[in-house]
Amino acid sequence: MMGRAFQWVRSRRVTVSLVAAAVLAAAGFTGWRHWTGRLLREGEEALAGREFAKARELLARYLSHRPGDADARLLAARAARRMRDFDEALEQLRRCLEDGGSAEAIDIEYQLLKLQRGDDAPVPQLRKRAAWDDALALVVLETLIQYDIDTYRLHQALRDLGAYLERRPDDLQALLGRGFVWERFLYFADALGDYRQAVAAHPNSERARLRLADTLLIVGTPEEALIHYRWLAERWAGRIEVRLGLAQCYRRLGDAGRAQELLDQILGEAPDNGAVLWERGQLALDAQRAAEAEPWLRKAVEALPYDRRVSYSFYRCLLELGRDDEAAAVNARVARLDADVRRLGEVRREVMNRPEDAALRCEGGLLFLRNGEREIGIRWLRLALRFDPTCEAARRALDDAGVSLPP
Amino acid sequence: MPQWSRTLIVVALLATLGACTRNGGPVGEPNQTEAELAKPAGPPLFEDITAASGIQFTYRNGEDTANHLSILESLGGGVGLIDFDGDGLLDIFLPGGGGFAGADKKDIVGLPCKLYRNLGNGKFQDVTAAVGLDKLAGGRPWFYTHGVAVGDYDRDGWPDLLVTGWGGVALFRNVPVDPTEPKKGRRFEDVTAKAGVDKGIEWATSAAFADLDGDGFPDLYICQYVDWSWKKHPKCQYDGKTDDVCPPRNFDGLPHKLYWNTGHGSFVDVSKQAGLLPGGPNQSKGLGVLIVDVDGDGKPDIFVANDTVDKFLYLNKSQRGQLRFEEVGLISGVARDDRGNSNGSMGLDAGEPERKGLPDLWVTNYENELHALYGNISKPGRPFFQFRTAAVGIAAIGQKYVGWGTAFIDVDLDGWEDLFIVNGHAIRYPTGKESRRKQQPVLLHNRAGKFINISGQIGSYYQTPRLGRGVAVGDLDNDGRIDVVISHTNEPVAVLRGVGGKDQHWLGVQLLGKDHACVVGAKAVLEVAGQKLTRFVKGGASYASSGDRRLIFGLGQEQPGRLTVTWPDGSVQHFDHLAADRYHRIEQGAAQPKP
Repeated sequence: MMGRAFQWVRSRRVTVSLVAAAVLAAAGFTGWRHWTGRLLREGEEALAGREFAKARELLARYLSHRPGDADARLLAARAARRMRDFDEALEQLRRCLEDGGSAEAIDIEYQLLKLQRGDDAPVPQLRKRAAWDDALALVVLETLIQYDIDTYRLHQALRDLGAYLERRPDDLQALLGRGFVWERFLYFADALGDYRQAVAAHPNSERARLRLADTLLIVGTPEEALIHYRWLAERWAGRIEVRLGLAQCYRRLGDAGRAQELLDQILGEAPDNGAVLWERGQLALDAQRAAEAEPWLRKAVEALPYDRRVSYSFYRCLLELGRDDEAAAVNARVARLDADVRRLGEVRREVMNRPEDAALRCEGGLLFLRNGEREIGIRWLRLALRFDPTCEAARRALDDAGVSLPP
Repeated sequence: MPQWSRTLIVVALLATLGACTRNGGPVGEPNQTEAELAKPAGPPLFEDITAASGIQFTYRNGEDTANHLSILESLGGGVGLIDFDGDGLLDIFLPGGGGFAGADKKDIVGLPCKLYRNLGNGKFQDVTAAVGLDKLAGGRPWFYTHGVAVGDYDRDGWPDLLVTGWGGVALFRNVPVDPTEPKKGRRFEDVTAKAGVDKGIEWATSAAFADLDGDGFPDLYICQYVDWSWKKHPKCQYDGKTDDVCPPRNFDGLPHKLYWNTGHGSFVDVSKQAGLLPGGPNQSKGLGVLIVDVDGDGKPDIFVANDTVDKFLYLNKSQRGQLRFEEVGLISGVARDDRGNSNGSMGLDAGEPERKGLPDLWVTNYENELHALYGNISKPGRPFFQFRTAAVGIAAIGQKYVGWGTAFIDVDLDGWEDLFIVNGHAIRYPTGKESRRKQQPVLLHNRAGKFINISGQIGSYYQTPRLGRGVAVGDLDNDGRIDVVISHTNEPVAVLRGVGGKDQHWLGVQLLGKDHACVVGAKAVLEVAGQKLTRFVKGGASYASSGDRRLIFGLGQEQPGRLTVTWPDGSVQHFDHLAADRYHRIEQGAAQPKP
């Protein structure tokens, strides 16, 4: 009797334990699914928000738990591509294919990868795909915009940005992007329109606000720029560009005292900041104190040797001090920078009409490099080589710049 | 940071590398500040009297006759104030512009200019045909015109007229209708060929008379623009899709012209010998000219506003009979703005806005550029200027305007010279939108050397954006308050009567050279309540226009003290106890002024 009772109790314990274990396992699985699902969602959100590093990390964590999710692999490939980690992107695409991912999506992503790596053969196909009305079309369009800008096809960039904004009218990055391109054409009214829209749609975006303030200052509406710089100063109190913007507004509005106070404060923290030194020097020139301006401007020129405007201010200052010989030497430098700027302007305009002209790309690349614009200079020289692999000047310049090239 | 953003930042940096020259693109959307300006903070300072004046005239640029979008259409016309009949009232000459004719609409034809005689009381009468200005010599029709300069080139005491334009200039001598009957009035005789200014001009914009070598006879400077022609007429777009007027960078600058006055009714082209620069892709492209003595050596110097390239300052090194100039724009600080950028410069003037006794130079520029006030700290032989735009508050008006005609003008007779500017876009479709083409004028009030935007106080004229071009300022009704005449492209001329400074005192001075010698380069200094006010006799100025050469001193509530006149030959005369609120004619060497 006792034995039967014990057996009964033991069998029930086993059952209960089994049930409990099952329940626990189910709960754990649900929790795991929920947790990994959240990783995926957050990864997708980060990707959509163009936080590529964050997206990449979240997706990697998700895939370590669910390695067979082909859709997530595709997203991981996209994040890696956007971070220019092309090997990783390729690997993710390969695994996506193995896991049965959408062939069309993989193909498009692969074409985008090729384009981003510098092979523009897929452009026609991608342009057609970008015209579709789905989420993938926006992904394609983003990369095309990047390509337009990288290759200085700015008219096309405007068209693509317009198409993007038709579908996502309040997209912050696209609005800021188009504003920048408008600025490149010196269409400041249109740039301001985009920046204003960006601020209206994203009122807490410091980036949007800063672009708006900077552009308002560029176009010479310091009163309105001041409002936005003040807003920024409350949130980004330590940011030099914000305080410099405030000082520039005060100077433009004739409040030299406040401008000087701010500039001196910034220079106390960042004594070698070229832009601040230049502004401080100009303020001293405004006050007709050339002797005081001279050391500020000399240091500004040292900090910004390729900025012709700074050198020109220094030249003016030296002339005012009667140091004609030194001024003449500085002016010779300004003249060289001027000649480069002028020629670069011509080259840029011609490149917009003949984007695949290797000679133009090469000349522009050399000019950029000579004027301290290494990144864009190298890009243009690479483009020159792509359009004309025999372009020795580009090859030599890249070699001199320490850029390794495939044989 | 995303690659896209990084790239864009590089692109933005590149934009700062480039000079902000005429690439199109306005920033002219009305904003809150502008709307606020429209609400006047005080009573209007001008009354628009156009409707009742009898002046009904429109400068035409030809865009209504053909859609060429040629750069020729962008310049517009000026205004000349000239008391041609010696009745003491300034009359108004208006270039008419032109259009396009022929089967392919490529014949560039002129439209008639007009001369309106001032009848007094704000009324004017068209006397063009009566004075012989309806046609050129031999009955030829007018060419496509832009500007006007006024000067007594033959020193007969009567102001003559030079009209500039596409393909040439026309010089008109002011002669009696009947030499035996002075009462029969005056007329004009086309003496272009006789005077030797009928050759070598391709596209003349502004011009100025001044005696540059000290012989008393006014010599002549003529700005030329660019080498546009139908053979050099590219298509241009600013937004990648809309055809528009090409910017000047597409063309080479034409050499400017300097003519020496022989004193025998003719001129000799001495441009090369005198040291004028030759033009080319990055030089000249002249739109405005002003002649004034900048360094106080008594010799009038030549300041030239060039479009998108460095401005010229020709320092006068001439001797009698031998014109010589040294171009010192860059080294003296007036060639560029404070950032070393050449600007799209159009209009100019000289004045004493900070009361320093030397003529500061003022220039209106293209959009996205600051207008430039160059503060004069020259010493004899070393001209030098500081960029004062920000320091005196002018930068606060922004850079959204395309500024043309302009003048220093003391609108409230407080003794501080204010600034008047008319604006209007040079291209047809700024960023693809014609609505951004027309712009409002700007009036900057000078408060003891600091400028405040009081454009709303211009009055009703301010309310409507226009395509402003030339401006001439002068006292049309001799009440001491300066009036303004404005030429617009394809819109009627406007006449604004100055009504500011009521109850304020003023003093007017007309300087007359000995034997009608040209007095450009002279200056007058008036002592008022312990302060010195300096006014300069100038040639040219504004844009394609010629204003009143009389000098006005606003006195506020004060009375005039000693007036000191320094003549171009260096001689100095003092005058005391001059009565306020009236003009005084001061002839060089005469002990007393005449009423």
